Amino acid sequence: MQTEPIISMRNLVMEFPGKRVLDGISLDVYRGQIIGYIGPNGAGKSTTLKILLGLIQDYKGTVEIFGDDLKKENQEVKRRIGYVPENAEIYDTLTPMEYLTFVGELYGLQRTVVEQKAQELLTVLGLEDVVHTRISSFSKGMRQKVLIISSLLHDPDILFLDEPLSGLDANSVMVVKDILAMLAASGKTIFYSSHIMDVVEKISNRIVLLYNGKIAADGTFDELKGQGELGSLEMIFNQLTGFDAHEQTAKRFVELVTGGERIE
Amino acid sequence: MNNFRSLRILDKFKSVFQAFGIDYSAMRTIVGLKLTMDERRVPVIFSQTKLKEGNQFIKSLGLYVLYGLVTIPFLFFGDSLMLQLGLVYGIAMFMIMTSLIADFSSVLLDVRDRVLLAAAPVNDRTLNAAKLVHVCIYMTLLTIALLGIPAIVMLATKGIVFFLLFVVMLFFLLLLIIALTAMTYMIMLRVFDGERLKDMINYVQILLSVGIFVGYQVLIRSFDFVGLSVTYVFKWWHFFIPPLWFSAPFEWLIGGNSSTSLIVLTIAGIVIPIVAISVYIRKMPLFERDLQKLMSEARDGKRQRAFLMTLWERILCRSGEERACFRFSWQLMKRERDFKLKVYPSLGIGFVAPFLFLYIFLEDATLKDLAESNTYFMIYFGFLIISSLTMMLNYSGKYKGAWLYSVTPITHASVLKRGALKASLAQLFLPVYLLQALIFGVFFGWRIVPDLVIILISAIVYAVVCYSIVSKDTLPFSRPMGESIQSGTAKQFVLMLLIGGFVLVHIIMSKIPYGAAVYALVALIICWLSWKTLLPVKKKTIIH
Repeated sequence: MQTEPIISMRNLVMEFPGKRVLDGISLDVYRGQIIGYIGPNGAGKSTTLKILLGLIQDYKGTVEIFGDDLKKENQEVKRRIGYVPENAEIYDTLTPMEYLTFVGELYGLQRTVVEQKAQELLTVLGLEDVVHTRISSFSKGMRQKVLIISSLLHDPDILFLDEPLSGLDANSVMVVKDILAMLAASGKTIFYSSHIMDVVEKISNRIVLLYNGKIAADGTFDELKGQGELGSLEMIFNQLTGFDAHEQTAKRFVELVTGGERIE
Repeated sequence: MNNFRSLRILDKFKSVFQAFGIDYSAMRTIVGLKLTMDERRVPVIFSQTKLKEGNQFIKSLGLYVLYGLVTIPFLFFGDSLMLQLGLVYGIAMFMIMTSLIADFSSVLLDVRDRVLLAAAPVNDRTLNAAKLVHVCIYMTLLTIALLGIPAIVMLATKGIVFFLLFVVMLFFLLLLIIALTAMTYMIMLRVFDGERLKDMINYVQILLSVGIFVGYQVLIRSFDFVGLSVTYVFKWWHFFIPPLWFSAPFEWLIGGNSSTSLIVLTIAGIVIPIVAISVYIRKMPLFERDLQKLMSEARDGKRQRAFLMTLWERILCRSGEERACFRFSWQLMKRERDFKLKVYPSLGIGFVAPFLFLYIFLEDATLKDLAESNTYFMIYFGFLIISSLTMMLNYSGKYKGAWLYSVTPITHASVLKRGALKASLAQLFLPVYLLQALIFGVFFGWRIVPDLVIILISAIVYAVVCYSIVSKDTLPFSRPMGESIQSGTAKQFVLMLLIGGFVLVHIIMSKIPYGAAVYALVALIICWLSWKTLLPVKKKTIIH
């Protein structure tokens, strides 16, 4: 069923002064996959995303998207990619409508087309009352919705998401999860990183675990489970990253808070 | 972090604070924390580069020492203590107040204090005292940098009494400055709310900076430089020039002129600051409560239409990308307060400057002389707007949003730059210039219209030259705002000299018969060429 990979990384190495963040990553991603890209803080998840987006260029190894080497800087590739960054950095003195129009136009869409599409998408996600209100007054979840819309305005084939669900309320999380599943079913490829294991477990059809700059596990949830014989992704995560001390850590913490009283 | 010299000095006054019911150790901790944060205030950009050591503010004090030296000559030239010291205090007030407004409104209007510190068991009184102490520490440093050397000169040449009087009156001046600044904010907070309020504060900041500049000019004018050697004569409106309140005791006690008006001015100089500061301290809790409004969300769901800018967009921009960036730029420029705070004062100054020089000319000439002269070249002073405007186009308070540029398939960086530059000229420079040109037209008559056209074309050339120099490898609104203060002073200076070049060529061409017509044509061609070469669209110049 899988033919040409959409994204293909070969021996990807990225070094920052004094630190090797990515240590020879090789990965093929195929059409319609939802890749959950997980790993502890500082494992190199965001760095990988930034390389794929062309934000970082001094990497070693090869990265191809749609068979095009990224080093060739083909701007046309970007037209087929959508991105939601971590931390919701945004020119927030603008209104959602103004911001989305700008983004859409940079992707080469007609202004009137973007305006209508943005209006409709904002309405669907329940932001119809604040279409012309400055983003600076928005909550984290509302900003996140704006960013999710901005990444999809131009109907991209690949979607890169960095913690896409952060700040969203429970209902919105369900909506976005369904959106992602349907987008993947319609043939789009979704590559996303997150810390929230429950969500990754439920919506990804392939999970890639990054640890110390290397891929520590790669497969469906069931495959990972088969390897580790453990119940949840959280536990698999703990096992693969060699972390089994959560209970002790928590205990020690509470002891310090309460002033040394031992709890059993 | 608790070992700042200023804090150790503060420790000496511990009992004073405690007498006011302030939790001294809590206050000290808060101020210590703020000072530590100030040391790191310069934003570190993207990468994990090493933190710059030391307090950037303290480093910038060197510049104030230089400004302070300017006041020394005023101590010696002239026979009127009133006017000489009036100037010294005027300069001090101008410098300190602009610095307070530009750099410390963020301290005065900090709402994070409320969220983070009020949750801890710290009472409001202590919190307010910490805020006041924080601002005072900086104002003291600033004042010492500015007036330290002049004060020593006074001590050495004018004696101890003069020196002490100066220091005492300076103290009252500082009280007045704090109270004046804070009360302006206080009134603003009362009257407005939410986003509108932040806008209003922004406009007041801008207005004050321009107002102080203009007031400063008026101060010098009103004394009529030659008149420094003339005995001081009181006029009723002098009561409204605060620096004179503080220089009055010199004329009275040292100059030996004990007229009633001087005594009244002196009393004003002591009583008004005390009253002002005590009102401020009493109203401070109110101030803090109103600060809450800054955090409130406003939902004004109206779409704003801008016919004029839409029209300009149609006329000036060709590609869709350029149009997008044009619109994006003017929306940002219209909204972003940091941007307005940095740019609008220079708009005001650029607007006023040409008229100021006309005014100087008029002092020993009639309107008819003026109309026949070629002083209309003074309108070139309006170009001052362009150099600071183009510089600020690189910066944004929300510069991190610039990831967008690298993710989207932008064809050429120059296209974005063109859009931003065109938007800034159409939105900010053009209205100012047209108004100036109109007023100049009234003064000088139809004959200067061709020159005004030439000057407009030159402005467009100048703008593209400036922008291409200051925006090398930088996309619009992609650098942190804080950076703008440090970079580019030397560049700015060179760019300013460049204005002189434009004036010179224009004057020479205007002496030649048909020179104006030829020059207009040449300028137009240069204009076209400069945009073509400095912001090229053909070559691939994407920056990541």
